[in-house]
Amino acid sequence: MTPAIGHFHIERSFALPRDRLWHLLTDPAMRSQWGAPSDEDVLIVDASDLREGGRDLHRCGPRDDPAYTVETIWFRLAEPDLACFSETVDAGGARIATSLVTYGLTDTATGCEFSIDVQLSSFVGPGAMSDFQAGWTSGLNRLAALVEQQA
Amino acid sequence: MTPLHDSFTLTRDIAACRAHVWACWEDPALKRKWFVDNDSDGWSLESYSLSFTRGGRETGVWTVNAPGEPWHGRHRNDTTWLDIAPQDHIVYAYTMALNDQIHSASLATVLFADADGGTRLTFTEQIVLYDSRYGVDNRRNGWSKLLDTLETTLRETAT
Repeated sequence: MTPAIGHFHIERSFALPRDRLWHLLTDPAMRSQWGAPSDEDVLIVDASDLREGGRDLHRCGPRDDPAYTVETIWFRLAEPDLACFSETVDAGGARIATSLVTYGLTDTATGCEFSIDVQLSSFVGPGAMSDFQAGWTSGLNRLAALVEQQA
Repeated sequence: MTPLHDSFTLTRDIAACRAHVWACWEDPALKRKWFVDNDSDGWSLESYSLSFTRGGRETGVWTVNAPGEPWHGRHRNDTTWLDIAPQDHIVYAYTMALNDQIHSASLATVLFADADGGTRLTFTEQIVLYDSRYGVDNRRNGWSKLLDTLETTLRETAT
């Protein structure tokens, strides 16, 4: 199938300093708490190498069958301002999508503003765009709950 | 630091068969001919390597001797091939760095299709720019020149 290409942008305000949000965004144990694509899914980090050029591996999906495998390559890590990485998602031996993801963090009077940009190339049609946006939105909802616990 | 997100698409209808156009990406000697061995004045190649496999890498390092210009120094291109479907599409991510400072990251999608007895090549780059000195127009122009050179290479290597 010919890849479908798109981009979406999400912004959230968090009552947490940037350095503490950075930890929630990049620490493997923290990511496993919020990063799954829905409340019913899990995210299991199998390997992490948080440095520019480093690669992470994680699985996600239903608890009894986390069948989606994701390889992350960290391209740019400017703590606590910006992170940029690619994610390549496979399931059942087929490639689902690749994306270039950018996190941006800026100070606000009460904490920080967080932005995420996802530039996507999908191998399963243009519907993946809304699926990925829903997944990231769900993840950020759990991240917001985690921030409330931390604040 | 506020990164700029942008994208551009270049489409070329090329008078060569899909297999030949594909070979220009897959065959190391052909790839080198259009991608590497056409340096502009002042650019000199330090090193280049290509492993065109899913998950494989391509790395090039060039030195630009242009004292006083913002592009003076050592340029590095690091590519990872994320998906390769022969004669159909290539998706890859790459970064560009100047003097070890990464100034852009990109996701590139290259499509190959039949068109009027030749090949339609569609190149889309989704880019994140970290340094305002490097606008997307520079990148678009750079790729336009590279695709010109690719077409020249195809003409020179036609059988």
